[in-house]
Amino acid sequence: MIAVSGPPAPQPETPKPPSWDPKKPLPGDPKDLGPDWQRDPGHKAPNDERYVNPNGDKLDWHKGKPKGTGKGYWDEHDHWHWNERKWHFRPGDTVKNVATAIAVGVVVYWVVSEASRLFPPRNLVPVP
Amino acid sequence: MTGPSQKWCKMTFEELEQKLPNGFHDAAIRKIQLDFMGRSVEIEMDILMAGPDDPDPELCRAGKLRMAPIYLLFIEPPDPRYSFIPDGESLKVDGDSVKVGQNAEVDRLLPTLPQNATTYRFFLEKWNAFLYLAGGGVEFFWEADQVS
Repeated sequence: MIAVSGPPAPQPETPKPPSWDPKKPLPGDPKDLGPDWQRDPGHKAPNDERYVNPNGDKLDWHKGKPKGTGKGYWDEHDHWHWNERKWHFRPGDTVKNVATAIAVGVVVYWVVSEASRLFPPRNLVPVP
Repeated sequence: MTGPSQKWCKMTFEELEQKLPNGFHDAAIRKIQLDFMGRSVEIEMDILMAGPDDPDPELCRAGKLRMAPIYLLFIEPPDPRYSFIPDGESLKVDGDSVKVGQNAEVDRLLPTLPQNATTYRFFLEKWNAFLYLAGGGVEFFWEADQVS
């Protein structure tokens, strides 16, 4: 018997694993960022690794050094930086939530600081 | 926390690092002033003061690093892929000791420096390049302002 082979049956596409985005908690290891994120081997930071995605977003990963061997508190704790901002994000933090909380905090601080000037003795304190 | 009047004198960069709560990790440079006649350089910086569990983990404080006498200061060219043109914000940096083998050109310079030289380099994040420093000793002053 001769087997007749027709056109190959279409294979179902393997779904791409999801990648991290700013709405999700940051992982505890760069390998869990997903396929959209690639390490930038040209980033020369001596203590950090940079990961970039196709949109041009940047994540810097700092692997915490063992206790007693780092240059202080943050150097000994795993953390991320998002898009070259100074803010630190711990694994499990969500960039959007933390960024919003910081922005709200700054606005509240400014409003309280300025509103308190309605109380005359407050103006004896020049800053902030 | 150290008061604004406190000054740390004549140290190596590594000794100074030990006195700062985070060393020069995630610090920032605001201004560099090089005095050829006075043989010194002053670098105004924001130093990260807090840790992850503090109420304000991003708390920074302004300080001034002075190196004298200065033996060497140079910055590598910026990486053209990076947005290196100053945008009015301080330059985020990370401190790093200079070691033989990091940069062949620097390796050739190190033996020409005076024996007492303290050497150091700052990684300039927006340049993807290093600022190299060598001098006889460093001093550090806290400034009055708290920066957050």
